[in-house]
Amino acid sequence: MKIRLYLLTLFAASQWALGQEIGDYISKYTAENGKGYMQPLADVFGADLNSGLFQGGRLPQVGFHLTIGVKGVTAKIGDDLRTFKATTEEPFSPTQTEKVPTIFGKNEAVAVTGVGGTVYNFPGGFDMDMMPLVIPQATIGTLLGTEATVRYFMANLGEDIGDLKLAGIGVRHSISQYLPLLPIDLSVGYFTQKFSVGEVVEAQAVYYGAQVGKTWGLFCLYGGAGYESTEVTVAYEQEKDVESSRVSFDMKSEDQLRFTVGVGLNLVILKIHVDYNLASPKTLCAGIGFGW
Amino acid sequence: MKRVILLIAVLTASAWLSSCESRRFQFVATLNRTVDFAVDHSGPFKTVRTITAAQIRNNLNVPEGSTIKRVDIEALSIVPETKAGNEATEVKVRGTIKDQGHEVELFKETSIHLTTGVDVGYGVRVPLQKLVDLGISALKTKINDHVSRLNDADIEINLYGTTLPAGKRLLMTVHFDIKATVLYEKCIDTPNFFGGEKCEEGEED
Repeated sequence: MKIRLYLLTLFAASQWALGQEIGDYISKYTAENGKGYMQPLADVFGADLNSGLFQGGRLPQVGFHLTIGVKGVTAKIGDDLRTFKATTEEPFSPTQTEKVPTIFGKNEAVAVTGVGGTVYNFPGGFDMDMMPLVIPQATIGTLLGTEATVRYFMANLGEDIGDLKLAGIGVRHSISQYLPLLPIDLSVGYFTQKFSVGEVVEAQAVYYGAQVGKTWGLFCLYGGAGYESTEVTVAYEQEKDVESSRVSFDMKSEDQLRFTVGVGLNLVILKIHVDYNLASPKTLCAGIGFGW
Repeated sequence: MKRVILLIAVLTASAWLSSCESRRFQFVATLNRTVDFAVDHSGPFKTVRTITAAQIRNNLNVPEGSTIKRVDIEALSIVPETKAGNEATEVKVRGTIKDQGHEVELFKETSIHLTTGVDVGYGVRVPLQKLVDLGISALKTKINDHVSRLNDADIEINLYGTTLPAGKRLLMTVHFDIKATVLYEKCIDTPNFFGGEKCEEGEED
């Protein structure tokens, strides 16, 4: 059996994509086990994507500004994302359930024994504690207290994999413009992103919530509360002898609560911010941008 | 000055994240091999099929430079496929594997119910429960020999059977499925945030 599955991460400015064949990790799995093995990747990837979408709360009613930059995000992979309960698949007998590694778990296969000296091996993971992502982003505004955020990246990873695409758009609208006596900046925002790798990976992440901020000269303190959802589909060809069939997993993380707290520094054209996101999983995001 | 320090910090972090190093990972490759025994008999029968080393290696696709750690047999099963003209309602089969010139029992007699008349075609998969340790061990060793390139001798599987009712014509294909796994280690280049044991310089990746 030969399955090709490419795990792709966007990381670092000079190396945007890593195409790593992990077919032999997941080739054991075809259904529920595959979902359990890969679900943490959807959770972590979604948490990464939904980070760094906003900085600060102030949105003037009118006034042109444009910032182009990159966001570096890393999600902390906790113990809860490193194992899952998997059940042996037919025709192995007798059926057994074991706590085994997810894609982020220990790089050690777990073996269970069956009838007549048979053994079922659950594959190990990549033994990862964190998953970083670098995302290009541009923000433009404001019109009627509204700014738009765009994320876009595309690269061809060759015939075997296809195109890697990231496209996202979001809007943030000032609420504090209607409440002149409010001592802080208040806004609401909605962001949606799509990520795909050829016909292998398709992901969609959505975030919506409220943001607050307070600015003192060059510094600003900001925070936010919102909900995020991620849907990831992983599909690949599973080969058996000369035949092959398409296997796909749909993984969803719906309406997860996310709190953000961060600080920003606005040095004329250089804009820097760092924020911490209490989500599942937690992420740390740093951004650097140039604009006016 | 602060801006320069900040830029250096960002570039250093990016460089760290983007740099790769060779790390050793354990993989599980799965073998799914079907051996087809075409049967057209009335009464007891014996059929023989072989699996070549090339078939095993192509199916597993273990990369060059890997270190084989273990081979395990996960399951053996049979999918019956009756043909038009089949009159038998049941077949009892047992299997052996040729090991060092001798036949070693792989699974004991197992009864498979068949369809006749217009309902011919693929039946339900029958996981083989009556496996014999010695035969499983021999099959495991031969797959290991193939994948490790120690001995490329064919694997010979013998299928013995009897039909019920006695004397009725059995016209079918026995699809004998072997599912096995190979645990192997290989050094691959990964970013720094991946786990795995660091490979020594010169280890193949």
